[in-house]
Amino acid sequence: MILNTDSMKPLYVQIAEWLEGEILSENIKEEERIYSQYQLAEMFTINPATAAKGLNILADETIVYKKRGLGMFVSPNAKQFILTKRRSRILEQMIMELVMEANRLDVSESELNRMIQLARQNKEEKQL
Amino acid sequence: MNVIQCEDLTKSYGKLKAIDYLSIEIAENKITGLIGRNGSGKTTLLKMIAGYLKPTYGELKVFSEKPFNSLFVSENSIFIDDAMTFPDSFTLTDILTEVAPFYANWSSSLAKGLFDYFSFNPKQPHSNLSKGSRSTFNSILGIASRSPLTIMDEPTTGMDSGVRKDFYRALLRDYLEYPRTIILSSHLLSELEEILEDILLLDNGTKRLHLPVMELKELAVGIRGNAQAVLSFVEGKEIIYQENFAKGSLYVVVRRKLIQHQFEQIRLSGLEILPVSADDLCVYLTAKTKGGIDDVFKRG
Amino acid sequence: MSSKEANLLSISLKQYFYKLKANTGLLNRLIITQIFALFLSLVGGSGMRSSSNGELSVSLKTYSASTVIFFSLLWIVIVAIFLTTKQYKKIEIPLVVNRLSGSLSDVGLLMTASVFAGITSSLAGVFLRVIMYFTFDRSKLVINGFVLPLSDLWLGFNSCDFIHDLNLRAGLFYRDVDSSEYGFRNISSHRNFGNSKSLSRFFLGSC
Repeated sequence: MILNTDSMKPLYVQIAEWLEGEILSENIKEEERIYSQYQLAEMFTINPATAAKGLNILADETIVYKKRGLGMFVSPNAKQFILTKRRSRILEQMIMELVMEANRLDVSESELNRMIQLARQNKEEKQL
Repeated sequence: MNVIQCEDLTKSYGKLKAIDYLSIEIAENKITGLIGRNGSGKTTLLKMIAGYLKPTYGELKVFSEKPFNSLFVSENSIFIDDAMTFPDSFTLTDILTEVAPFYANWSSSLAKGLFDYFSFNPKQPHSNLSKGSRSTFNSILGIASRSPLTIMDEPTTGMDSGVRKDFYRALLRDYLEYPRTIILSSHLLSELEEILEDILLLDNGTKRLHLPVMELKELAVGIRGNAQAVLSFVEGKEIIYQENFAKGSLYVVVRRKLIQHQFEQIRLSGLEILPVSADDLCVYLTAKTKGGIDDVFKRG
Repeated sequence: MSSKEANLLSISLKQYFYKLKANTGLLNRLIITQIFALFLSLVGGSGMRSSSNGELSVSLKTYSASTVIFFSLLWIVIVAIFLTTKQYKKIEIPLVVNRLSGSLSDVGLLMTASVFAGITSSLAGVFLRVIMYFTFDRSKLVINGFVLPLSDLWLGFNSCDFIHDLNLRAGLFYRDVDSSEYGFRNISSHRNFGNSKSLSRFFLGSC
C-alpha cells in the first residue's frame, strides 16, 4: 500500500504532499507539467476525483497553475514556496507536538534540547 | 446528466418493504459504492435499476427511461452477480464469444487478456467453477463489456485478496481509459473505498447517506481516553457510537463538524483524536443498538 | 420508432442465435425420438384395415411417417414447455433482453425446431419405405411413391407452431406478470405471431 488509508490525513492530502515532495526533490521541475488526475489515479490505484482534489489543493495554494487545454504546470518558485510553507506549518506543528508530549512526560526544556542534539548526532553518524 | 434517478421508490413484498421511499440521483461516469448490511435492500435496488424487478411504487428512471422490460436500458447496462447462468453446453471461451455481440462496446482483446491472466481453462463449463473463480470470470464479463452502466452485486465474493486487488486495479484502469457509470455493492468497503468516488449507504431500504467517499472519511472522529473527560467534550452532541473498552475509558464517535474547534483543547486534556474509517462509520450508522453485540454478553 | 423496431429485431436475432447454439442437445434427443418412433412404425405399422367378403379377405397395413410425426410433435411440445421454464429463461439474464425479444427469439427457435422436425420426420417416412423395400416380402408391398410428401412437411411445421402458441397461452394462466425474480413473464407479446395466430384461431376460436 503506497498510501496510508488509516491515517488522519485524507488521501487527497497525502497526494498533495507527495506531489510537493516531488517538486522539492526536483523530480518535477518548475514550469514542467505535473501529473494529471488520471495519471495519479493509475499510479496509486485511486479514484481520479480523489487525485483531482489533491491537485486542486496545490492549485489553490498557487503551487501549480492550469494552462487551458494542456493541464497543470508547476509554478515558478514553487520549490521555495513549499520549503517556506513546510518550515512554518509542518515543522512548527511538529515542534508544538514535541513540546506538548515532553510536557506530558515531564521532560524539562534542557533535557529536551539535549535529546534533540543527540538525535542530530545520531543522524550525522548514520550518514557517514 | 443523471444516469439513475428515482423518487419515492418503493419495493414491497407483501408487508415487507425491501426499498422504502428511496430518492436518489446517480450522475454519469462515476464509480459509486453501494454499502449496507445484509437485507438493507442493496440487491433489490440494483435489480430494479437493471430492469429485472418492477417497482411497487414511485418513479425510477435509468437513462431517462423506465428500466423494467426496457430493451434500451438492457442494451446499455450489464448486471453482474453470482447467480448468472449460462447454457450447460457452453465452455468459458464460448460464453465470451457468444455474449460479445450483445454489448456494443465489448472488447474481445481485454476479455481474452484478463481470461488468460487469471489462468482459466478455456474448455471448462461455467457451472464447474469454484465460487471465487466464478466471481472472477463474471467480473471479466462485467469489465470487458464496457457497458455504459455497469452494475456489480458483490463481485468479489469468494475471491482471494490477491485476485481482489487485481480486480480493483483492472476495473479502475479500464474505467480511466473508457469512462462509464459503475455501481458496486460490497461488504469490503475498506478495500474498495480508494477506487470509489461516491458512497450510497442503505439502511432498511432507505438512504442513510449518499456522499463522496472523501467526505465520508472526514465525517466523524473518534475520541478516546478518560471517560469523564470525553463525556465533557461531547456533552449535548449526537453520539454516533460509544464503547467502554476499559475501566474508566471511553471511546466515542461524533461528527467532526461539531467538535473540530475544540481539537486542541481535547489533545491538551490528554485525550486522543482518531480517524474513523468509512467502513466503521457505516457500521455504526446502521447499527441496531448503540452498544453493539456486547449487549448480548452483558446479561449475566 | 422504426429504429426501435429494427433494434428489437436485431437483438431478437442475436438471442435466437445464442439460444440455437445453447440448445443443440435438443437435436440429439429429437433424432433419438425419431429413431424410436421409426422402429415402432416398422413393427406396428401406422394403420390397419381389413375387410372380408366371405371367400376373400384382404388386410391392409399402412406404413407412413405418421408415427414419427406424432413422436416429433411430442418432442416439440416438450421443448415448447421447456422454453417456458425458469431454468431455461435464466440463460437470458446476462444478455440484452426484454420480454418481447425473448419471446420472439423463442418463437424463432421453435420454428426452426419444427421445420427441422418436419423435414426429418418426413425423411424418416422415406427411410421407412426404403427399409421396407429392402427387407419385406416385395410381393406384398403396394408402394405409394418414395417422393417426400409435402403435406407431411406442412403438417409437421404448422402443428408445431400451433402447439407453441397453445403453450404460450397456457403459460399466461399459471404464471405471474412479475414473478418475484425475473420480469420475463409474458402477457401480450405473442399477439404478433402471424402464422400461429391464424392457425390457433382456426383451432381454438377467438383469442
